[in-house]
Amino acid sequence: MDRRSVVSAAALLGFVLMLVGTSKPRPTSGPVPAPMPTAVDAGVAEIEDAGAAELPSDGSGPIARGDAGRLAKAPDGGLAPPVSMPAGRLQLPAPWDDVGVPAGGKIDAIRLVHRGADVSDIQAQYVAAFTAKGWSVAPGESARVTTFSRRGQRLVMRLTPEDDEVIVSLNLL
Amino acid sequence: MSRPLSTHVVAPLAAGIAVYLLFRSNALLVFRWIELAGLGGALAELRALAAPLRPLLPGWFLYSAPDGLWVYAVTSFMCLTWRDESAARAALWIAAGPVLAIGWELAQLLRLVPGTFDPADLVSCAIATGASIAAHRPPSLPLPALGESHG
Repeated sequence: MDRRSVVSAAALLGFVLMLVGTSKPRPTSGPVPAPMPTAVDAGVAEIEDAGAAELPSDGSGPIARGDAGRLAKAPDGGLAPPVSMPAGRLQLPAPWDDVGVPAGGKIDAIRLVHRGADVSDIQAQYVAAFTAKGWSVAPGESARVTTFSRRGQRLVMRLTPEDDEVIVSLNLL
Repeated sequence: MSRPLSTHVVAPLAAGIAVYLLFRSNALLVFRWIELAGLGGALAELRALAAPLRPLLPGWFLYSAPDGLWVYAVTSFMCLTWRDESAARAALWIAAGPVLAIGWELAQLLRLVPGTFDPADLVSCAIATGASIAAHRPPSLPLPALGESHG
């Protein structure tokens, strides 16, 4: 085999490796979609409440419970906590529970990834779950964007099919 | 490195790799390899930097262009490597890349290999093959001037 053949064969081997590498790995036990969150809106409310519970009523930012005394003696009256102050933590579901997201922010959107799922199935599951919790679907939306409404609240759901997964973005307005 | 090699092979290869690594789902197998190589952290930083660009990129660019760029690169590589070889032998090597890419795509359709079949990928591969062969086609022989007599 001459040198050109060896180089060409190596190039083809590399090309095959690239084709394999950019494929999705097979699921270990069949294409099982991620479990459908059965209480999505309850989860959102719980997260938001957890964050809000950490906020002082004067809106001065997060206050760690152990710092209450020190804040009372602070020259600015505690209105602007130092950056280095250990803040409270936002209660989030796994795998975010141990990340350490500081409290104070309001979660207005969440993003869920369903691996190996079909976009139409996911859409049907979410619509069914939301309507079961009292949300009604607003008419006239595009195929992948659905707006729900309930008692002065609006929830916008965007579905993005990608490679071997479906991304669900939920915005609570 | 020669200019044709960098223009027709390295550049499209690098562009296709960049699209995959920066913008595609990290569920792809190559991300596991990168993790195993200990480069997961660096790549995550690059992906975070590139993330604002992602919404601006059209679907065909993200999902079909990389495959086309790679087919262009491998076909160009073969054209450059085998340009002074007999047509039959060169054709075998030049066809190998597109045949592999299209075969891989069809194997996805038949679920013989992992991945998602997309007809746009086939179109992308076909365009890339045609573009590469056109770019490396030997220059046409000069035609005899009109009215030239051969007596």
